[in-house]
Amino acid sequence: MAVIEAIATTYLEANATSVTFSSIPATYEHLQLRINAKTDYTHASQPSYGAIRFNGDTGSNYSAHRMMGYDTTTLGQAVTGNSEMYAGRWANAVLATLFGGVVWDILDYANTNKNTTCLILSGIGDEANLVSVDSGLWDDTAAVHTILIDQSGGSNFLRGSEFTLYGLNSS
Amino acid sequence: MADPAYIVDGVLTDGEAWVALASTTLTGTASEITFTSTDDGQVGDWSQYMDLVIISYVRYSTGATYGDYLAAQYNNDTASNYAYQIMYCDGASPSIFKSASTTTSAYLGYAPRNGDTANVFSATVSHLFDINSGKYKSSVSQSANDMDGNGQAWLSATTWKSQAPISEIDMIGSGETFAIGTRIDLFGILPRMVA
Repeated sequence: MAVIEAIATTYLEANATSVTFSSIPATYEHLQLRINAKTDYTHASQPSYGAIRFNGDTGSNYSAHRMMGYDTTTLGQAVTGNSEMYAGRWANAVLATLFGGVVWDILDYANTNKNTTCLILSGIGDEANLVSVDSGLWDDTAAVHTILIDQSGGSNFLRGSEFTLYGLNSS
Repeated sequence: MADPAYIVDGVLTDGEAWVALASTTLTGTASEITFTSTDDGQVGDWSQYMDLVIISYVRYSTGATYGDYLAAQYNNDTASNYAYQIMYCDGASPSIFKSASTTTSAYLGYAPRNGDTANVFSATVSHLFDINSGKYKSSVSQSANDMDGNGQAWLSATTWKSQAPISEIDMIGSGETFAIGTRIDLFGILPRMVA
């Protein structure tokens, strides 16, 4: 058995409003999303907000904390009672060849006695520069079986955005 | 020629997604550590990987105190084609800076120099995304550089403003020389292979 296994990869060949991984097996210990994405958000100096929704839950059950270096400013934020987990960043549309990198860890996702806490590292090293380390909480103990990856600010993920979900085994 | 591990008896499979590609531990000082794709269709051929991860445990044998940058250059590109965003905390309020213009290497972290506390190395994990695409190549890094009284907790995002696939990485120390014991490991990260 592989220790780290690629569960699914989506490489967008056309723009898409969101990306969904469904029927995620409960057989892994942890999940990791690795993302290289951009959206059609056109703000000259701001990247797009990242967002994730678990199991189709649109209730006010998500919170996040963010510690960011944004352009020449350090910034801390906390949000709660959201309908998605707003964390991580995707590149905006300003520079066509620039995509943002994100590593999104989802720990003990199948344990039905624990809410789901995430650790997110993201960054964009050029236009609308930003580097951020975030926490995210889904206030629900259900096992994660579906992940919808969304964006805020624009309408679509742009062609070329890439998303891979990995499963981590204990041995 | 041996097939990569994900091809078993000629059939595409999904095995280990993280593949150890190379590891260098210095037994003598060195001004750079180089990793190169084998470009031969075997395990060391980077063209099959989606991402790369570099794990660095680094110290310099040169310089005074307060450390120096740990950086990378790709495909022998030493021109000013790298941009960055950095945030770090050295014990006071977090500091931040970005590239006002492009630089000649990608800043991945920070590491102790010769004058810093003996036997201290910095720990850096760097993620390079979609290395074979026609995109500019992006990375995010976390670096821990604690020099027993000074140092930094560090985050950085870099962009190599090139659409070429990455086939060589030169790890450098911003003019410094890597000390004996410096270790850098390179991993290739496969995507899902089977639909």
